[in-house]
Amino acid sequence: MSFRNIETPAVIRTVNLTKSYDGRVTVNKLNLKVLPGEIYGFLGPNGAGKTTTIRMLVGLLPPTSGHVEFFGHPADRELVQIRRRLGVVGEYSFVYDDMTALEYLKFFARFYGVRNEQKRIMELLEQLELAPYAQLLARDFSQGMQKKLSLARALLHEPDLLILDEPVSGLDPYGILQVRHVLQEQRQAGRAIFLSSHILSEVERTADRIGILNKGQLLMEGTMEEVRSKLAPKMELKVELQAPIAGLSQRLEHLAGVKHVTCQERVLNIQTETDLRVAVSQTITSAGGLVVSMEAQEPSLEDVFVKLTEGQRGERSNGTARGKRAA
Amino acid sequence: MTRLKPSLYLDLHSTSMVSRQTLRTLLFSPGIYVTLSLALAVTMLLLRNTLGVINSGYATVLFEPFVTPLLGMCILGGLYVALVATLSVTRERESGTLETLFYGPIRFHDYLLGKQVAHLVAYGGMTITFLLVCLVLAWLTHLLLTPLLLAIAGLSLATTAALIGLALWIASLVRTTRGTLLAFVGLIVVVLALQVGEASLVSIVGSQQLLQFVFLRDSLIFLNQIVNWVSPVSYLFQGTDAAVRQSWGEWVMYFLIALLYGLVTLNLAAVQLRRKGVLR
Amino acid sequence: MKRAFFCLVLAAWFALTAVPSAVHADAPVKERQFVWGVLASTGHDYNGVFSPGVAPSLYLLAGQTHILLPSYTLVYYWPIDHEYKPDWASLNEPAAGTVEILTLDGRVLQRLTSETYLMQPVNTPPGSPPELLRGEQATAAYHAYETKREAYYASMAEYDKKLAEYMRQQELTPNDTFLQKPDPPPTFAEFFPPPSPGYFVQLDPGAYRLQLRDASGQIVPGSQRTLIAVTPRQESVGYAVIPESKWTIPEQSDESSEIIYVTAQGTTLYLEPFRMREFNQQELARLSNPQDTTASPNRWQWVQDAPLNNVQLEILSNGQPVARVAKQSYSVKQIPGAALGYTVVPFDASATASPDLEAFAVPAVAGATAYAVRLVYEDGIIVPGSERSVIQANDTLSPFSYALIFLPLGGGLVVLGWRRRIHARSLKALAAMGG
Repeated sequence: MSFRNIETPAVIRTVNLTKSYDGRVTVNKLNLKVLPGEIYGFLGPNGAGKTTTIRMLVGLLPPTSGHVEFFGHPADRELVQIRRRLGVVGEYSFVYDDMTALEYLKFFARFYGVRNEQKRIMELLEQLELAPYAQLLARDFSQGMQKKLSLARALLHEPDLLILDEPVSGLDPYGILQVRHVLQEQRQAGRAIFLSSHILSEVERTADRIGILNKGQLLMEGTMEEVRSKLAPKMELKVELQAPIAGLSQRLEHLAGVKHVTCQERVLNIQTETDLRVAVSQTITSAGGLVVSMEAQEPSLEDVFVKLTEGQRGERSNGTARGKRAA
Repeated sequence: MTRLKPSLYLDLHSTSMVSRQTLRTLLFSPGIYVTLSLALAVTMLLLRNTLGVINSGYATVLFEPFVTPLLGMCILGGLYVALVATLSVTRERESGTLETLFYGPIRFHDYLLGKQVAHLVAYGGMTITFLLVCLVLAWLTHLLLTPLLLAIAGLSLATTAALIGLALWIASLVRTTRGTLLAFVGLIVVVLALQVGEASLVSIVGSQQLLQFVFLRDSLIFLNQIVNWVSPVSYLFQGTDAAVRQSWGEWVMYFLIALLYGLVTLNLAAVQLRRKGVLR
Repeated sequence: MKRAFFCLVLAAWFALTAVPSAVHADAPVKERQFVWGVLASTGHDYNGVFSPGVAPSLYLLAGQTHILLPSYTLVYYWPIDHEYKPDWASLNEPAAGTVEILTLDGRVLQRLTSETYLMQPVNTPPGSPPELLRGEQATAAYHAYETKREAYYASMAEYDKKLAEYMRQQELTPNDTFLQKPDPPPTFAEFFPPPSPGYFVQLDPGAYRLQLRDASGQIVPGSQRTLIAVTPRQESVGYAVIPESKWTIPEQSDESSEIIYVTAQGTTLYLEPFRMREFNQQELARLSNPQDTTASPNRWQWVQDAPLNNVQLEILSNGQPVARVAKQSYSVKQIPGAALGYTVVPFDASATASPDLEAFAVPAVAGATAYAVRLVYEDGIIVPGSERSVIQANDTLSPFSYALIFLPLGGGLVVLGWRRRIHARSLKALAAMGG
């Protein structure tokens, strides 16, 4: 579910944001928008420019040209004040060697001026199941625990916007569940989340809108449905016949709504714009065929992602379509 | 929408947070205690020699016996905190904790000022402890301890602030810990070599009339005149000389120059850090 | 490339440093040159100073009257001293003209014309500056001296005649008791050198330019110099500190920041005060030799000046005067017999020709480990810079003192030990939890 308020300014807005190094353009005239209260998934293959974009957003890298606005305020002039409303989790979790988890969070709580810091800290530690480890040195934590600790740090001051770079990397399935739950809570509280991740299934599950970046350019932006409908057929049917039937492919292609049919012996792959299972069954039956099994699949985010970026890479990606299975 | 707080509050608060965290790290590392003990050990050695000289001579004229140990402590302590300051910035950058800190509402000036304040407070603590121990030693030995030491200690705060500023600037210029260490230690070695070289040649040329070294001596004197402008330690020596002569106007001048030096180098460090960034 | 550059630098250094030290076996080459001779005042004496063309600066004491003597002479390089020397005996020709003193930016401050002068060191009391007469006074004094000298010569000639006559008469009448030997005239011990031309100059502290302009208005080639009027950085009262137990090895205390330490047993001190002035070492050396290159511009040096007279020494305890002593003369008497040692006793003119010490005696103050001394004038005004602290130090450092070294280490161990416990606990707990 996405929440949009057209009158409220975007929490993030980039205008022709560009970064180049010695003539090599890493991010090219990026124009994206994150709306209040939504989870924005930021995707792209390795080297697409995602981390560079995030670093420019949080002010760690100056852009070559273009600018960023947060909550309608220009970042280049008001970044320090804006950072009070941001919670950032970087790709890697860096902790102070000589601090316990509790000391670490206390430091940042005071840094951000959090009131009732002890209560807030314990709340977050409980939520992320780190409370038993509070008195232990943060440098002795596993990678996943450090990631959760970083998330706790980012949430201490109840920021209006969370910027997360690979928030679930290194986490076990329980950890991923915890983080997902936390993100949903934050969204329900009205906070916007800008999330960059390689785990497409996780983004597909949580994001309201996505942006796909490749070679520094934003290829596509929108909700999952919008993106799927632009790039991939609505449904793909896999039909297994008792025996091959000559001419069946051509008859099926003539059906309204059928985009493409491939036939390999007894197996037919039919891409359709709508759900045409009944029409396909009838056509096969009328051709004298017998359907052994029929599977309907909606293209996944991974399918979309691969399709969008494989052309840019200049080589076909490996693997068949995988995704949600419909009954 | 959260109300944005005014910038002055941000400056002092962020500076204070960085400074407290840095001071905490300093107190939890052995270096500060070892340095202080080393300074006290050198002091004991010097005092033992002093008492030996007095007792072998029936009457001995000496400059204040605690001045040299205090100057030694100021130099040793000042160099130590400066070295630690420069390494702490590069280590934080290398380890990534600097990046984490700059996700928050902090400016480069706030961060560096926090570092400078923390290291200066640590140095101040070392100096106060040293002076208290000297007080005890003066009582035990009847060697005189005068307010001149307070003037030297006070001046050393400004010169140490300058040293720390210089060290932070080095840290902002050099990205790696090893590079920073080499640059800092290299600078000290060069300055020391110039000053020891000049002192040796002045003595050799003056006492042994080896005139073929006059050109080299004069070259080193010229180089040291430049060093005297850029080395905070030279302000400490010149200010001490002024205090001994009770030329308080000069003492104040060196104090203010050292403070200004610290502020200028801090600014340069902030500009450089902004240019180079805080990323690993 | 780097090695070649290094060799080049090394060769250049050797070339530069080797040249001045070359020693020639043949006679030095002498060259007629304009030089500045100076009768430079030290405040209580005059030194002759020679400034050839190679010395671009001339140094004089500020506030004193000096006599500039522009001259032509033969100048040669003397490799043993690495200096240029004048051959006054071969050529000593005064250069005529007007001496100009200018500011560094070329504004004329003083124009000096030649005056006659006469310096009379012989007839002045020992230790006091020579008598300097100038102008008409010098001429008149020398004229009076010449008159007296001529009169003496005449009376000596008269005496010689009378003596010769007496001798002749004595040979003729050896038993004549009425024959009287003539008395020689009183000894004439005065000496006045003939007056010479010179240029009198007195300057405030600072840097100036010096040059000689001849009668046609041209600057005499080789006459331009930078003229530095030197002043001491500070003045103080210094003391020669003579402990009774070791009077042959006095200590020197130059300034009031120095402390006089005595052993725990205490001893009588004899203090001889002097005026002290602190100069830049290089400036001080170049006051007497402008060619000096050995003194350092980065060092400061105390110089002993005249002794202090007409003062008394006050002894203070806890900041309050407890005694006042006058300067006295003392003799050192060896203890007779096999015992070693000596005693210091008041000077007795009938027993000894001259005193061994003229100083203020400061006995050890009973019950006090620290006291102070200072000089005061007869009217009670304290002589600035004359204060000194006298402290009886302990023999050695007690063992407790050495323990103080470990105080910071002890504190550090406590702090670090506490943190290490947290770390150990952390590792143990994580292991137990399987984290």
